[in-house]
Amino acid sequence: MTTMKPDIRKGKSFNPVWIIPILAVLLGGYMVVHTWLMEGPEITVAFDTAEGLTAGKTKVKYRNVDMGLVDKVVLTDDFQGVIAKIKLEPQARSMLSEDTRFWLVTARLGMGNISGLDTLLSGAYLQLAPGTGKLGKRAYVALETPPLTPTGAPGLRLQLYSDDAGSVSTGDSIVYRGYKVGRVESTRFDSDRRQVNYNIFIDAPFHEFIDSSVRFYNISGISVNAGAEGLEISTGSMDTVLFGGVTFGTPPGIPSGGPVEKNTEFKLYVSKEEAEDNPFVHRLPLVVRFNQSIKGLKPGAPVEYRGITIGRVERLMIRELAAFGLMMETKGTADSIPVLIHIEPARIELSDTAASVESFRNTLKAGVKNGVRATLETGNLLTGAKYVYIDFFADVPEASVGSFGDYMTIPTIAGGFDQTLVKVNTLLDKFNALPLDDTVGNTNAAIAELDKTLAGLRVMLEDSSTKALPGELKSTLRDLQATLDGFSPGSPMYQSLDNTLQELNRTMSNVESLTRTLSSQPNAVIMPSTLPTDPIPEAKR
Amino acid sequence: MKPTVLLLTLLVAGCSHTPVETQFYLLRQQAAIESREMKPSPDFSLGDVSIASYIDQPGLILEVSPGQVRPARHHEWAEPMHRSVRIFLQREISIEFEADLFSSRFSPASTVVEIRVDQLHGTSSGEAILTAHWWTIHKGELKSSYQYTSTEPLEQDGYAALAKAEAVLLSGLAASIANTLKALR
Repeated sequence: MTTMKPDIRKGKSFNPVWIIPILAVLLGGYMVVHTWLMEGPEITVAFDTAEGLTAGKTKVKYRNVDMGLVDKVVLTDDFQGVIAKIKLEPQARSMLSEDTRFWLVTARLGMGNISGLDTLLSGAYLQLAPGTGKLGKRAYVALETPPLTPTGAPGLRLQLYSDDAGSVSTGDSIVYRGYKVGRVESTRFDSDRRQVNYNIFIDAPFHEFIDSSVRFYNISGISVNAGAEGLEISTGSMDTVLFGGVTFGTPPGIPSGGPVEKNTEFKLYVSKEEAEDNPFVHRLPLVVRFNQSIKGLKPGAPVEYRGITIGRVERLMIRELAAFGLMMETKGTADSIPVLIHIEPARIELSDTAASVESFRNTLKAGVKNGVRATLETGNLLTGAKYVYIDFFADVPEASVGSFGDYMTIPTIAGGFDQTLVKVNTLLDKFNALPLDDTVGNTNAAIAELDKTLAGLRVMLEDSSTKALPGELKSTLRDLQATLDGFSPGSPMYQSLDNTLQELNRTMSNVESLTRTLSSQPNAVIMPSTLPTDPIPEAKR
Repeated sequence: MKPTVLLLTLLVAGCSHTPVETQFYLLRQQAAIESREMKPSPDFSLGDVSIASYIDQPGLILEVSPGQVRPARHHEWAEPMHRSVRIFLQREISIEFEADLFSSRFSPASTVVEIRVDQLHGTSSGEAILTAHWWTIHKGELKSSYQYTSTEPLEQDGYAALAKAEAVLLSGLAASIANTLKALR
């Protein structure tokens, strides 16, 4: 009996029947990937309202090229807005970064321009502005208005803030020396700071003009300023006059500052004067107390020293006057009106430091002992505006600096019209004190003496020898004339002199000729001349 | 002894030469001058008459090449040119103008004629050339000014012909001035 052994063979590891499903899977995968790649991304863009949006009709454009279509428009879950679902072209995938922006383009009528007129016929469309940030974002919020600056534009974005919106609004120009260098991109009210915030953009390369010393100020409209320094009218360009605008510059005397980062905050001043008015950081506050009318003295009026503006009037201290005046009433000082001024040592080329302020304070203390006083002067006769004038005055009572609250005070004297009145009164007093009777008596005596002198002069003039003087003078002049006639042209003396000069000229000419000959032939005196003979003029043949 | 005499003889012979005789020319008008009473012009008088410096020298001037002149050494004017040119023009103008042009120093005439001769010399092309400017001044103000230029071919070779041609040119200038003064009168 034979034992049968099974013939064990290794089966086939791959059955060809599986080829079909694998191919189907690969083909399916390829189709999925292909479809995904060809489909393009789907995104959502949120709007406040669906006005202008139509599913299946509103297009998405970039540089006027169709980049997609609004597929569906639905309300948000809280019904506070709408969401447009958009299918974009595959090419748009690389445009969808975190700072990509969308906005609806419709016909708009603004203060300075009209845009989107073509949408009246073609219908509104969504404008896409590619960003430069991280890719992959799919949900966006549409801008309410078109951005004024393209994404990625070179330049510098800054923040301005002011206490009042004034006439500056979105879209207004930022000009530098009359040239447009940027624009106000947006305006909002910062409720935390209770200030108006402006987002501005300075185009390259003008952003290089911005440094930490720069001050921005409003140049909208026409500014008319009548102050102690006269009447001043200033305007910007017609564009800024009509639509508003902002400009910037470095106040005079201020050195250039350092570079600024983007979104740095600057204060927006109301006017150029305000921007340049307080360019210095360190100030010396002082109180000056006037015993005269301060009508016409307003905050901001200049404080001058011999014509140089060294500070400004801060405010009239009416509130302090009420309290302080009541307390000091018994000392008789309640009637003086305290005015708070500040002096900026940097205005007189001192450094803008606290040390300069202290140095100036000490100088002022010493100066007051030597006659430094403050007075009120009229700066503008037309408007009656006044300013504070500080100078050395002679013949003033001795005084020293005092204090008013926390401030140092310097003594004042009457000035302006009041001082003129004092001088007129003094003059009248002196006039009254004149010994007029004695003077008139002396004058009469002097006139009598003058009469005597004139009588003596008359006798002298009527004397025969005096009368003969003109005749003698005339004779002398006649002789002088005759003498001069002897030298006049045509006279014998003149002719003789003329002939002598002619002879001298001829002699000099001969000497010149001899000199010329000797220079060309030094031995011509003793040797025969070898000079060339004169060329003979030849007549035409 | 003989060599010394021979040397002295040679020296004397070497030093001796025949001097060239200098010819002098007088600048005067050709017309005969008759005796008459002079009639001063009531309108015009003669002021300054100036000549270019290169003319105001004894020798007659000959242009030997363009821009190069040579004053003759042996052919000279008989009197200084600044004097003779003035006398010549004064007399020639007076003849043509039919009234005597007195010097402005002695004349009460209100208009003064002043003349400047810029060029007066012989050219290498056988001509004499004259360029002059003249103007009238009325009570200290320049009223009119003129320019005159002319050439005159030499009749024959030599400086005598050149002096004669220059005199003809000055006569032409005088005639031009006189004709203009007649028109202004």
